[in-house]
Amino acid sequence: MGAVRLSSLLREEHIFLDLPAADREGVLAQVSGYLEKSGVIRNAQEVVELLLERERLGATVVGEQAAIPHCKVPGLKSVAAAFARTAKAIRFGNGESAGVRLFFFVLSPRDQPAAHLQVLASIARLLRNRRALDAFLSAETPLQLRQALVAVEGG
Amino acid sequence: MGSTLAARLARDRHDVVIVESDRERLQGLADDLDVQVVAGNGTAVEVLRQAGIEECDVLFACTSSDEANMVVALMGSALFKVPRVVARLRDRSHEASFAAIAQRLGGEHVCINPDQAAVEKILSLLPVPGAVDVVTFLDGRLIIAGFPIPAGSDFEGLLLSHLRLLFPSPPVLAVAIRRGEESFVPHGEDEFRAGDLAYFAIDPHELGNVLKLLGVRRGSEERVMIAGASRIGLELAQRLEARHEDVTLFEDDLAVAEAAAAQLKRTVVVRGQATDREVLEEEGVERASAFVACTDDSSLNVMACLLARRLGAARAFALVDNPALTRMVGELGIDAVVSPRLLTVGLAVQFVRRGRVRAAAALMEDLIELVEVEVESASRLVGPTLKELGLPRGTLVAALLRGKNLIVPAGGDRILVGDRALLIATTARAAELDAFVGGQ
Repeated sequence: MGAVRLSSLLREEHIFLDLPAADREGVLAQVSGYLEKSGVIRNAQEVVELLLERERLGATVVGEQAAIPHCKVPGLKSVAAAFARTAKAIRFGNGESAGVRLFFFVLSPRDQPAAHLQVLASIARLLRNRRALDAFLSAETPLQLRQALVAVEGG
Repeated sequence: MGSTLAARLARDRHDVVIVESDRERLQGLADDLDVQVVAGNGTAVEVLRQAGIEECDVLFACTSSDEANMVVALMGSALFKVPRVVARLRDRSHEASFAAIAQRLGGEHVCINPDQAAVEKILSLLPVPGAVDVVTFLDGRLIIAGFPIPAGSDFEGLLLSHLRLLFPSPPVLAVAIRRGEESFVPHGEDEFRAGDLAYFAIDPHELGNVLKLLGVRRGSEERVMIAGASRIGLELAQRLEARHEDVTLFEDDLAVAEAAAAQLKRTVVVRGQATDREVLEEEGVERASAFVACTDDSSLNVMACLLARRLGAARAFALVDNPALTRMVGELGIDAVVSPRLLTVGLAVQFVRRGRVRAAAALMEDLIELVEVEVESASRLVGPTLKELGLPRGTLVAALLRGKNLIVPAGGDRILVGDRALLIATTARAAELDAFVGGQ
């Protein structure tokens, strides 16, 4: 379903399991820092600001345990995705959700609004799948998680 | 149109009296509707008096004759001081005469022109590819457009609540869904399914993105083909050529075709039947961005549209004023059905409710109602949060225009005095929602 698969965007080295983040800013900063180190983005601090700006329009929490922090990043060439699972559940929304552990980051170029939305839509749909959620919560390695993702999206 | 209007007004709990001279028809009306009927000709003073015109608040003159409608409406106004009068007039020169006379009389007067309403509807559909219906609200800040959800599109399997994630600001939301035989005002936990007909409220800036997610492609050029140089066909061609669009008009009757050609400047007028495959092919129907069939024959319009679609026209709109046919057409693959009769009824109902109502429209053959109101201080909408308001199921406050800000309210938001609110309800619940809008 849909035109875009997350598995085609999410590289194994951008899957971060059991991150020691304690709050919203912590998760956003740690993942942005890794993406800066691997050269996906130039300025982690700027991306954290953009992500927070988007959260202020309305939390990106989807369902019980997941969130899709996302923003458009000036200068980015193509849509980039990252996944993080925190060791502990984090309060991410404005109180509605008790704890989020699964974070799907979507960073898009400014001039591809439709592609950006297609990725968000495909993740939102994916998160309705109980089997996918369980796999994301229980995967022991990035490779395992990616394989589970491919299996879910392929099926 | 009178019986449809009467049924609609009776459902909204108005006291309705129908004056009808055809006795057989009259009996049918009395049996089917919760209305009073009076036999006789509406142009006769005695008949009107017998129908209780002296106590009436709104008079509708909606026979099929412009002349009779003018006489009845002006009599109501001049002799009986009816405060609000509506005349259904199709001829533009009649409208002018009516307005000139009505100006000298007291009370409010409105002409409703079914052909005009149809032309406006078609013109609103043309710029939104893929849409089966388009209505604009809140000073053009919000488009309500209906689209079929294609299998495999990005919407299939998405929850309505996900729209807030995708479109936090400016907003896009789903306000009504038809699924098979069922039409409903959905809520956040409902999902989009392939084959649904979904009505979205869209900020015009996001229209391109919504079309992309639906998988609708925008054509590069606008080439409109019109079948039938009827009043509607001719007016549509004139409006389109004024916008420098590429228009072809088909008309079978030689004299009518010649008269049309004389009145039109850039439009190509072709003599021939719109159901003639060769004629359509010769004019390049496969490259048409839209094919609009508006002859006076509803069945012919449907057939012409089916043919045009099969030959490759990107979209086809049929003028159909026959309710039974209207219901079938959706399943046949015609993109949109335009019913002058239903559009006229919609305008008339809007007039009855006017005052606090700024605009209104009905979707899906009248099953879903949209009303734009200006919120007054006495309204029960003011004060509590939306969640506390406890609006009936099947109703929705879709959007608020507060000053220049377009707001899609969530459960914790409040409606303020002076807000313009777009309210949506299944027609069965509309009266309950009305009670909230007013102070009752």
